[in-house]
Amino acid sequence: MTVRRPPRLALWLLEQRVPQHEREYLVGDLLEEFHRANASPAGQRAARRRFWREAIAASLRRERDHQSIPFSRGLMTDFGLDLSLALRRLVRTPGFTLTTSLTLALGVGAACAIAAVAGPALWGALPFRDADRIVTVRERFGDGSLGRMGFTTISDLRRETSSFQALAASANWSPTLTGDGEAERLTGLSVSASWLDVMGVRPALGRGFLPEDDRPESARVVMLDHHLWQRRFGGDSAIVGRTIRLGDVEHEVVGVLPASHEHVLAPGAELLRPLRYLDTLGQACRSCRHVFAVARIKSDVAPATAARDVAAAFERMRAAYPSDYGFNGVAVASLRDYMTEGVRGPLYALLGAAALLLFIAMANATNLFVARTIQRGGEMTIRSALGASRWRLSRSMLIEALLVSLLGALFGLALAHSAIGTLVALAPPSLPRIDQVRIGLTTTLLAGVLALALGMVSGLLPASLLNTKGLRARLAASSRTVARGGHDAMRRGIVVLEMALTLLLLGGAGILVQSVNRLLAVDTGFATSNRLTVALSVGGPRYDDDAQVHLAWRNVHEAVRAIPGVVDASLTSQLPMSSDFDAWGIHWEQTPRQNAAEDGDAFRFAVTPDYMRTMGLHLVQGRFLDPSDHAQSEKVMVINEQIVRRDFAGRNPIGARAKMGGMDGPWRTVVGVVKNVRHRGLDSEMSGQVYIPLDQNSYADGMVRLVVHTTLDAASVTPSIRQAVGRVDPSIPLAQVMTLPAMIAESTTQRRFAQQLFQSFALTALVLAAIGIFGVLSGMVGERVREIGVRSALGASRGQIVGHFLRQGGALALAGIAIGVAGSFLLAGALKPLVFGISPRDPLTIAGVSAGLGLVALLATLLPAWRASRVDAAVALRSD
Amino acid sequence: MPLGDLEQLVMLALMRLGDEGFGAAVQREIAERAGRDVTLGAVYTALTRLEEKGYVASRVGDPLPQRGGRRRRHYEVLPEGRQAIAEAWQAMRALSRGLLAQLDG
Repeated sequence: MTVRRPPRLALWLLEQRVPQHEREYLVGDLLEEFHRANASPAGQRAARRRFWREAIAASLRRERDHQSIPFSRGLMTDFGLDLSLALRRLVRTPGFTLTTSLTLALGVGAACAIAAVAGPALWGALPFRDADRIVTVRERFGDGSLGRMGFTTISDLRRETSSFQALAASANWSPTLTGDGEAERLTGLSVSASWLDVMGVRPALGRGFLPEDDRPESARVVMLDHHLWQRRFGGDSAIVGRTIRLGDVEHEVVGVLPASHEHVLAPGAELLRPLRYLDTLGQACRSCRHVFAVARIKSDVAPATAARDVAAAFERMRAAYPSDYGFNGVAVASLRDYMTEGVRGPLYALLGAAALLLFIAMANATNLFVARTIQRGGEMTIRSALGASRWRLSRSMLIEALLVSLLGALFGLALAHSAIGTLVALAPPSLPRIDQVRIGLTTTLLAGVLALALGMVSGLLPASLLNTKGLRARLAASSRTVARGGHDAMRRGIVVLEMALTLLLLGGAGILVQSVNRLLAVDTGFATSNRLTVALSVGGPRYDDDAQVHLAWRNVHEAVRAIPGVVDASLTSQLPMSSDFDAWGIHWEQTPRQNAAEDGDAFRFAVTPDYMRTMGLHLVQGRFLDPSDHAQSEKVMVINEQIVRRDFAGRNPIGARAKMGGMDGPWRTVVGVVKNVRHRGLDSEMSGQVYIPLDQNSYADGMVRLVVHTTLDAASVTPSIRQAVGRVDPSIPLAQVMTLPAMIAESTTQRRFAQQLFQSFALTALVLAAIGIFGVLSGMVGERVREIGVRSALGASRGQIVGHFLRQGGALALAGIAIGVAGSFLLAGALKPLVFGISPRDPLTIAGVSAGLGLVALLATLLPAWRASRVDAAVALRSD
Repeated sequence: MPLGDLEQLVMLALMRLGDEGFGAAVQREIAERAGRDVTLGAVYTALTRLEEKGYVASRVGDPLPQRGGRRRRHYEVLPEGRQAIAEAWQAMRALSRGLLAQLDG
């Protein structure tokens, strides 16, 4: 038989709670009874129950209370009393209540708003079944960049790997929807039949794609996105089976995607069609890198295993086809990692900034509570003398702090709610899932948790200063004589912390402002003022003939140039800073390489000859393209300085010949050199650029951008452009109408967004820190009126008194700034993804903001110091 | 000094127990005879109060192993206590005279 033991926790409770004079006998009795009890299981249970009943009764019983009030009523009345007292106190001091809760609201609001913006991208559940099994597969190029693959590469990976349940390919597609209403260019996606399986999406209406839809000869079918279905077809459920005209070709609608589907891989996509590729097609080649691979890992395969599997398969392919792959590798990334590439760092930096602001707000609120505790010293002293326990006094303060922080959290939520619209409008379009940003349940929960945490800290920290013995001692002594207690050290500590955190934010903001300024000062290499651009595309069987495409563009070009107020207009296959990306290998005749894949790349601009004039490019050598370079004349090209530097090493490039893309194209002769333009972004590396006549391109570009230099404003010239294009062919849609300055601004939104947020956080922090240091010094002056009186009675001049307090404030500010400077050097790395053209530890900036913060601290100190100097010795000494 | 309800029960139980009176025994006696389930804590509170009023006296015994080495506190009713319970009992009887039929009913 096992030894029966009384419940240990119950025993412990009894030892704690039974009054000492009864304890030994009562507990002894209980143990005796316990051991006397029947050994049967039922008897055992009864004995344990009895033990527990006593323990609970004992812990509920209140010492020296012969009335034996039931626990619940006693505690609740106490709590209710504390609550109503706290409420009454807060209502009686609306200034304190509002200041403190609004201070907290700034922190909570910032934290909630940023968390709401970053949440969907960083941690919000993705709307796909088992989204963590979806991965993207990309080729890694020599420069470390990742990009798309050729279709055959994907087919081979599908065969050569065993980790994937399905591996799908997708390619961009920009169909023009014609039919009822104006022609509209849409964003679409051409996908493998298995794409829906990979994404784990089931159609809401109709069916998905079948393998037999995904062949070159298959009938043309499409699936509509929920939004397009609602927008263009009024949510008509009879849409399945109907045909729609895309680029003058009939497509049968076979299904509609569910409303919950998000195109995280192709934001804005509204249509899906089967890719219809075969390995034998020309565009499916291994170096035709325009297809994006996405896969679903088998449920019993670890992502790391899948990555190794893919890498091994790719290595075999690379060995088999060295001319196609060169030194390339392959990279597998989870859907989330792919989606947040490039924004993860900035988002975490912003979350960090919001957290700093939250801490500063909390520091300020805590300081306000400390000041309030000091003010309530008299009340506390009396309550403590009357027998209130320390816990009881702390509890009343905690309740007060929790109420205030709850109010602060509510204000903060309201603040976040009203700011979220602006934030979304300011946010860069590259922010993933921005359409999912809202202040919802998660944000509200976050605000609740923050309220609880803030209330705990700002209530319990001051409460920890309560020392009942000290309070009782104060009752005996004069309250004024307690000038420097623990509260003083705490308040100073808090102010120093606040200054340090503020400096971190200010430093970050300073660095980011300069980054953005430097970025905007970057020379794009082309003129932007009074220029606008429009994307145009042709499609349909009529344009299967390249000559028709060329003719259409020639007509559009002429029609637009004839518009009154248009100075210049030209067409180009791609435009810098517009996220167009069309790079080709360039193979020089003079310096042939064994492996053509190792030759350098260049962006290909197929342009009309007046492109240089319209864009304000700078000619360095030779000539630009001119109208005499037509389809039948010698094939020519103009290269940029970057290529000359990279491929010519001081030799004269004029007259050199090269092929673009594969080795089967024509030789093109260099006739001129122009200055570089920034293509991929203001912060991008310089890239090779090649200009060839639109008419001499080896194929006709179905999509071009029109650039117009006009003396009119964009809004008034756009209708004329629309008419001019419409006269050539009404089925050509106008898309992405934008002025060039706006386009460049858009390319910098991410940085400007971060900078604006940092800046507003930093300014808020600065104000809070100034209030903080002002509050502490005012408090110090208030409490030390008598000391000041004594000093001035003993002959201290006003200057000396002002100096004394300035030194006090200065010491706090200096300590805070010193810690802040150290901190900003340590934390600068977090800003790296947002910084351009400046070190995140730029000493000049840090010194500048330190000086600024010091100045603000000084101003915040001056007023209390001046007030101290106005203390009248006679009044001060009489005041006790 | 008047006696409370529980105090009366505790005194009566103590009188019945004679030399055997201590907290748990009193609790058991009250439970068995009067059918009242009171906590040991309440019994001790009543005992302490009765001792303060001078109605009962206590002595502390030796440590016992079945009590985890704790001592037992024995209580006995003093003459003043017997007097008080007798008075209370008489008051009850006087008041309930003629009502017995109803009370039993």
